[in-house]
Amino acid sequence: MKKFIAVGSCTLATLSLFMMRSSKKEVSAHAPLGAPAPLQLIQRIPMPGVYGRIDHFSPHPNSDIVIFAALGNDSVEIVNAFKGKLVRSLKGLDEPQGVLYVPGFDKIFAANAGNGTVKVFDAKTYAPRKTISLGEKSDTDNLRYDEASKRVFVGIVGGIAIIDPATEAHVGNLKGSGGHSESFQLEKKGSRLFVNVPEDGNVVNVIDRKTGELTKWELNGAKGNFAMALSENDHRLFVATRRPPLLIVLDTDDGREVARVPVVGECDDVYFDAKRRRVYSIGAEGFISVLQQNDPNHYSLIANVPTAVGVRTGIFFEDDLYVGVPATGLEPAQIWNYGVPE
Amino acid sequence: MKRFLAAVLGVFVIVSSASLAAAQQSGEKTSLAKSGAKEGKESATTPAQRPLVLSGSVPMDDVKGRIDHFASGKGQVFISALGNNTVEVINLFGGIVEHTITGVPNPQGVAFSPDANKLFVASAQGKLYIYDGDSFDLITTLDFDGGADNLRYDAATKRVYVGCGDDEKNGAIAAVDAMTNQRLDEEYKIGGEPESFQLESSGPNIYVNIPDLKQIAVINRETKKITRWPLTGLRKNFPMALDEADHRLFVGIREPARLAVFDTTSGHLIATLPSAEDTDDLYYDTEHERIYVPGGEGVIYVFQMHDPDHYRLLAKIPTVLGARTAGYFGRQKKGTHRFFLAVPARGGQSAEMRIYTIQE
Repeated sequence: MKKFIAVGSCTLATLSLFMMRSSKKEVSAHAPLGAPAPLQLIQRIPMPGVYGRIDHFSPHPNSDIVIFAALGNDSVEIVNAFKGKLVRSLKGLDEPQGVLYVPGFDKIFAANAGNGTVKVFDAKTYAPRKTISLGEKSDTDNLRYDEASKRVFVGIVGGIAIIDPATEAHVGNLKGSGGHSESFQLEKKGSRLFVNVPEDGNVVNVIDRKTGELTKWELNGAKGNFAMALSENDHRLFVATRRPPLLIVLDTDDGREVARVPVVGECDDVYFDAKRRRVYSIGAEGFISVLQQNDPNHYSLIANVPTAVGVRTGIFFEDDLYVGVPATGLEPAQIWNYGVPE
Repeated sequence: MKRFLAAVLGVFVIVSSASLAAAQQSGEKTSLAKSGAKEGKESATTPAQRPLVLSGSVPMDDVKGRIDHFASGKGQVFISALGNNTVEVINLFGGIVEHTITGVPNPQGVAFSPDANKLFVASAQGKLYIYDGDSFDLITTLDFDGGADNLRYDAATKRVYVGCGDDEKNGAIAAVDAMTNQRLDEEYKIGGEPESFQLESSGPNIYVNIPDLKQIAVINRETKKITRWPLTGLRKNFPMALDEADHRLFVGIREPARLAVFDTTSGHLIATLPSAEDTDDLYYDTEHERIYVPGGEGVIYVFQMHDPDHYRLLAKIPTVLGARTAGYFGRQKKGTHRFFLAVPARGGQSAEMRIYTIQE
């Protein structure tokens, strides 16, 4: 009888797996069996007049305010998700990739890949304040804010540039190992900064912000490491690669790989949900891979929640995930708002 | 009890295989979620099941009708919208149509010269249009009797080769100096309408498909001699790609639908494999040693070369009926490696350029 139970439960497990994977639609409805989908689409907010590729989003103290770089549209868009509408479009940018709201200073920073500048706006009046040039070929991309040191960090070719948000001046650089800096994350409890550098042999650069010391972590053959997230409490760094599409988990104590899980293709943003111990991997293949952290060394895919082809970026707040859906021939660009059910 | 156990086990097997099949059909990964670095590393080295992943689309709202060939340059993709009488200029980074060149009747081939910073567009109505590479203002036009079709740019000589003519008299490969916009004396009469052709960069040859004659012509640009490889049992040889390092020529055949592989040193047919129906473009990916064949039947065939004499079908990627032309330009900015497919407007849906990410 014991044998039967074992086989039976095995069948059940496989069945539930089958249901999870039989179609993308069903995935969201059934994964895991009997439980609600880990992400539920709540609303679609139209972005009329926004065309082309949508790039990165900014965190904001108010989770109803969604700010994103509309790369193909040469604009930064500000959305009120509570009201479900576009509030403001900041025009005149040049292929913006990263955007950042800096609380305290109440300013918006936009990184223009087209001309290698960071443009600063007043977040109240939306008036442009200053344009900081980091070099025409610097390919300014991701932006991060460090509350403790009151500094803005900009991912560029060859490392990370540092801007003082008070004076809006370029105050220094952290040198990386070469190539363009993709997503990066800052430690709050330590002084390190982790940077994905796919162009330098697909490595993670670990740079000490105090000493400038540089270490490289390898990814054991995985290539195209663009997106990144950090869980400092767990000492874990999440690196999403594109070839093949994997989420690779590194121990931040020594750079050792502790797990790798197949995820959505062409991922450009990944987030760690500390409350639910989950990872959301957003990929242009057309879904969000949701992984459960069973313990810091073990992760399992619990759902592939459908989005649309080309949806590669977004932002996660505590209970909301927003993604950017580019315009198609029939529909304008949209922001899709997923809720995380309890 | 035993019988029951067997039945349960049977269900288990069926369900597992169904699960696997469903996973493959839905285009998801066949390897299930894995935890632990060891298991994962195995999956990373497993051969790719999906060599192309659909990862984006650039809408071309105003483009109606048939879409023909592609070219690229300066981070842009140029698409000749044959049925729309326009050339669409797509900014790849921004994922947007940046410019539309109007006033070209039935554009077919396009070629970009980075040296001259000019765009060349061949019209089926018998003209070559030459545009400025920044403003896309028309610089001049040149006449070609019997229509101009495929274009190839030869960076070594800064010449644009033009497949022109539509019969046994005017069918030719002609040459234009990209810098001066002058038609050159260099011209090879080939006795029929040329379809796709390829230039050797390490040798003097031009390989030309001539479906009317059921031939591939090999033009030696040094000796001006033309050698002909007759096709036996293969008709309508349209697209073509060249693998110079391995001395192989890949030809897309429409009747029957085949990929034909030729040895360029001997002209011998090395292999024929069932391939996409209604094909009009074909590309060779040197890095992965793969051949991509989009077909109007609504599929991209991906072939893997094992060695220059052996090939196998790696995947059939479902697309859209009528999507028969594509662009592939090797690795681009930031190491991106993509395949672009033209999807014409159909039943209320706009035309689009689909972007596929090439997987290892």
